[in-house]
Amino acid sequence: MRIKILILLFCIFFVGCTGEKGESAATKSETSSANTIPLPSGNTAVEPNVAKLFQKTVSSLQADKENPKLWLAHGSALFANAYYNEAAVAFTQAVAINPEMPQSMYLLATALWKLNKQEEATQALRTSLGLIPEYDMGWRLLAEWQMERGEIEQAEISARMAFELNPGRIGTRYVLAQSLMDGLKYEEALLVLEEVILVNEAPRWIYALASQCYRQLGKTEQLEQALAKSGPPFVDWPDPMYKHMPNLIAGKAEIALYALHLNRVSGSEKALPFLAKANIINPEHVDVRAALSMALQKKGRLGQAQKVLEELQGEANVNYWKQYAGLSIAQNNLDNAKEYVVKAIELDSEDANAQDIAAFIAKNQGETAEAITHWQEAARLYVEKELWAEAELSLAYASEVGELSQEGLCALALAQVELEHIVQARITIQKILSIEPSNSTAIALQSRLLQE
Amino acid sequence: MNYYSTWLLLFLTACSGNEQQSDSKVQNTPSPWFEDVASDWGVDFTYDNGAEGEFHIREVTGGAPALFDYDNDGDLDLYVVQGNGALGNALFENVDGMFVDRSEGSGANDTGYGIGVSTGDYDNDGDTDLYVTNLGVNALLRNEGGGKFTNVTQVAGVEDEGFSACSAFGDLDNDGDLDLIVTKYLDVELISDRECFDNLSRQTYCNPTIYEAELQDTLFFNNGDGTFTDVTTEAGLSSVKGTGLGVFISDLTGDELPDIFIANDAMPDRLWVNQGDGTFIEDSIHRNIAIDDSGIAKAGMGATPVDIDQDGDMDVYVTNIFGESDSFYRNEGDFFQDMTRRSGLYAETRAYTRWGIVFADFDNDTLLDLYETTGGVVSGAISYSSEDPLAEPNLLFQQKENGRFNLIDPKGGTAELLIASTHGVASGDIDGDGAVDLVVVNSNAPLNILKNITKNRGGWITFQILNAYGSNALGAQVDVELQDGSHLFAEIKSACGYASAHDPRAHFGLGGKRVSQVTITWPVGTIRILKNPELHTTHVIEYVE
Repeated sequence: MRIKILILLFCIFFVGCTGEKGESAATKSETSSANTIPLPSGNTAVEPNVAKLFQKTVSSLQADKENPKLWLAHGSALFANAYYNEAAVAFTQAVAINPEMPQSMYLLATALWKLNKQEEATQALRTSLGLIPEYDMGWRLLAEWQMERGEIEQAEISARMAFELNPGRIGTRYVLAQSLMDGLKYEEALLVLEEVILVNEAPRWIYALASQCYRQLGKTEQLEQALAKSGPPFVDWPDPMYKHMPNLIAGKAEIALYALHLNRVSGSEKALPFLAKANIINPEHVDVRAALSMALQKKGRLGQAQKVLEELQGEANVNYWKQYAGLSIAQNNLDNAKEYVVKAIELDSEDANAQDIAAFIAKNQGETAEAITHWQEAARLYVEKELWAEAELSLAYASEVGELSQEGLCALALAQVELEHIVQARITIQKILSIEPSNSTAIALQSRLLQE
Repeated sequence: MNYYSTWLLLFLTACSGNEQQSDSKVQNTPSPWFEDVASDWGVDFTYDNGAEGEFHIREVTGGAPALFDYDNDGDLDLYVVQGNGALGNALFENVDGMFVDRSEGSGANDTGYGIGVSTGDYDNDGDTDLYVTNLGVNALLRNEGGGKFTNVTQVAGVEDEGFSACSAFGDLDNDGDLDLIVTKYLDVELISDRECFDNLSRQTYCNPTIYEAELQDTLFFNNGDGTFTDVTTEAGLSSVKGTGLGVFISDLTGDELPDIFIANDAMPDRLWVNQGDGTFIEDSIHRNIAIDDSGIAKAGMGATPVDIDQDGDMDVYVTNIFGESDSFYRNEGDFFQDMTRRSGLYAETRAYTRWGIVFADFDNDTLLDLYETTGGVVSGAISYSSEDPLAEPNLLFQQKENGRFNLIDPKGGTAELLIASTHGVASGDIDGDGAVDLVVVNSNAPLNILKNITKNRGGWITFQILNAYGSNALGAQVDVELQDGSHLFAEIKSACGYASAHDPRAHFGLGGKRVSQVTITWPVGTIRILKNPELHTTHVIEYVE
């Protein structure tokens, strides 16, 4: 029970930490205009983990500016974190050094598309496909862009190319059918869709598309059946179908953002598949990794939760070590848990949640005094942030195992007053005054109670 | 230097600036379509959304104008809702082409946190009244004539307190007076202090669905005695909740009964089909207008009925958030078909967050063009303003003969880009020169009056259709037959797009063509035919039994 409460508490705080603004980190670097290393401008706040990633890629580049792979790596880091303008510059430099590098050209295309430079993006994508004509996903992406631009005939040609290269991809089948529908070829589109509808259970978005064809063709009965199988509208936000996931790492940042958003809003169970996808596509995103591990842990999949943490890429952060500690507690390995929570506190001594976890571990190791110290420290940090309920909870745990210090009692009384837990506040204040009749904090709180 | 290097240098140059702009499908024009004449015409107005960095969602919903003839002198006057502060809404009288501020003492300067406005003569006295949607209590402002308005909200029973967004008047129960639909965005009691962040970890506005604060919209039937009755439940509208923003009333099903369409933010849009007995059935899924053709419920903002393909029935156009294209639903009779990609409007629109919509033939070539207001709720990939990260340029599209729309450059059709967070826009021929002008309301930036200065415009003809009470006959239809046998259709409407009230007169661009016949059909079924009407004129058509 206690473990569940602790995990719950940890979850709450993990959620609270994931979306906070980072400090302003990376700034424009100083190089010549020919191959200036692009970075977010100085007035843009960069998330600290992202800034560290940029520091790495910039550092590598500064050592070897003629290496196109390093430009590609730096561009990818920028792109993955939604700095598309800067990413485009880096990819451009990579391709300038090595024009035969399809990955750079492909990513340049996607960055330009993100910047709504449609003509250039499409041209770059075509160029990359000239280098890797067998890349079916590239043709599919081209088909999607052409459809969005209303280039109906070209879209169908590109979609057919993708489909011929790999007819097994259901998403490509979807795009081909859509391109045919845009050309008012509903019968043909239906043939493409029914090939999967008739042999197995297709994804519901295939039925949604098929319903459009049935409607146009006046096939009412099939329309109703397709509508029933397509289910309710896709309401997930912003892009439930992740149509753009195939764009290699395009949209990485959005997917991570969405997965964490879902984790916050809808809970880990619903978020789990999205966190898993985000982790695959964005393995260096430590918060995604920690959240995924926690989601797996909550499902009882402790081994997988551990594996996710072990596969860390990049620098661990406080959330990572807190999750490792929480997982170790769940695995009844308190020594490891202690080691990990110490690392978390070393990274951020102001993290109240880490103090809570440390207290829990200490308590279960029989270190009562240490547990009380951590819980009181957690409460102090909560009080600073005016998180009264959390402060009261931490001190309640502490008082269960031993006597609070006068400071701890004062913090508890303050939290109780703020939470309007009047009876409990009176008892706590009495206790303080019985030990130290002139305690100014207690007197002030007592006076406040009387006024209220 | 090889081919790649040359080509890449071009990219390098193009990508080096902070501001990136699309250049695809751009229609290069030698001259602008509009110029901002707000200050020249005497209007100095800024919508204050009250933003102080806390990202309250109301800040990205409000600010809208109404173009209407409040003094019945034949020209368009202007009303603008205000957001934060005590100044209240503003009323401007059009006096010989100059707008004169008549707010003070007019009774029209409601001081609520204004979101939008709709117009209609609810009491059938021949004067156009105003309904203002607020964050709080809404306001029904009865036009008493003589430049005076009286707030009759409480007496009329249309307070509808909460977070209202848009409203529209229309005779939904076919009893000869105007009823009222009001969209409700969110339950204010459930809007929490949640913080949301964009891709770059910057705090921004939250997706409304995370509050789980959806509401039913409100339908009022006019009792004919100056009061209204809330019939939301009896009419069937309480069966679903939503995040209602844009709304319009129009016959979308071809049964000569006005229906209600509501754009919901991040939820399926709704089509309430009028059953003719005071009730409505929500039929958006079966009519294929709730979601786009990928099955995605978009974040609907504005919505308008418009016969884009000029085939005599009303199509529907919906604006959506950044990342999602607009939705052009073509009316196919029993259902709608998503035509957005085929019309060339998909790729260009998804790069902005669009709100207000005006379909008008700005260049009078017989083809409807499209103007859209834009303003972000989350920052996009492109930053247009260092002062306002949510500011974007408005968009202007010119329709071509093949039915495709081409983006006009400079964006928005002005010589100098107007970059702002904009929601409401109203249209009408303010200066009576036969060309449709615009009023654009920006958040925390001066309002723009965009005078149409399109060169080489074609001919035109305009109709003001009156009902039996001498007011604009909302819902009437105008069919203009040109001498080549082609037809142009329009519906008399005021509230559409986003939160704004447009001049309800029907304006038609004619190119070089002449008009052979005009057929006017009033909502009650009365038909009147005009032969060879004079061109370059506004015809006032009175109702005759």
